[in-house]
Amino acid sequence: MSARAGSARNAVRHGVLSEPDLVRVRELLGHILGDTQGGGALTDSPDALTAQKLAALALADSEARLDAAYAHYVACQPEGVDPDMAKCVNMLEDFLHMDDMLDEDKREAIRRIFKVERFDARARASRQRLALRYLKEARATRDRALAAFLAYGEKVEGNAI
Amino acid sequence: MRQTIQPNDYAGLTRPEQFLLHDESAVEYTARLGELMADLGPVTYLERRQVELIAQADVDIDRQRRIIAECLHPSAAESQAQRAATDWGKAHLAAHRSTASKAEDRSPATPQGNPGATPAIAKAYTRQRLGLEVHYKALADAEKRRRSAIEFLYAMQDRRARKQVPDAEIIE
Repeated sequence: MSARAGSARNAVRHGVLSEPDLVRVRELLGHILGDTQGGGALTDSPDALTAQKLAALALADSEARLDAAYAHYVACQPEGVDPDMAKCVNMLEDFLHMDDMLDEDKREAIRRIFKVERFDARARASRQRLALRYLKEARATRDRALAAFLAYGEKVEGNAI
Repeated sequence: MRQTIQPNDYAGLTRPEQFLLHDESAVEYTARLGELMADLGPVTYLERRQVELIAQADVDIDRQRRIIAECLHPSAAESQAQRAATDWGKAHLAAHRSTASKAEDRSPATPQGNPGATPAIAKAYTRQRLGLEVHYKALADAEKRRRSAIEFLYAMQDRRARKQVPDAEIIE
């Protein structure tokens, strides 16, 4: 498995690239089309949907994906050390206060504390960078969908007021 | 310009708890969104959503600045590993005298412009360069998102205003 495919699967599992919640998409579609009952367009068969409704559906879908990407991006922001890493560092630090440990072992514990910290900082930066990339992609897709919908939107915008 | 906020202004928008951190207030966010709604006067749902994206970008800009300031706090000059190593070294030299390692308390007080803190801030920057780069990038990105959201909103409002102008009739 390539690293790229692996990370894409991670993103699906964590909800960033998974299919958006259908209820939320219907709700958004209702607001976009000015139909507050929500998602009337989805009851039509796909063949019967007009280009305008399809554009609205694509926009609702991309809005829901943008919300998920933003929520994931925010969840990656906190700077705190990963709890497992913090536990590991604390255990290693405890060795330093034990009287029956050899100095050489204590030096090795210090080296490992530094390693764990570096690993954690890199992992966190990598997660944050990836989340930012997903957010940018979701935003770009949503802006394209909005532009496409507005191209059909002359009549719909009036109804949505 | 509309000065009052209508109850349906928030219909269909994202719930603040989905994207606010624990040190951010939903009440403050709603107030900020309300001010933007009053200033920018969105009329359709899509315009309101655009204003919401502007407010989200605003929150993100503040958040990134706050995180950067926190990362560059003078007390962040030393990591836990460095503190542990220093403490152990001191204790080792002083015939295994035990000194508990403790991080300096971070005061949330307003910075007092202490030039003596610069070396510690520089150390904190060097130590956390990797993480800070991501936050500076996120800050620049949030500012860009905000600008483009405002441009998009103005374009939509302009389009709506143009539609209300009746076509000219050619009179022979």
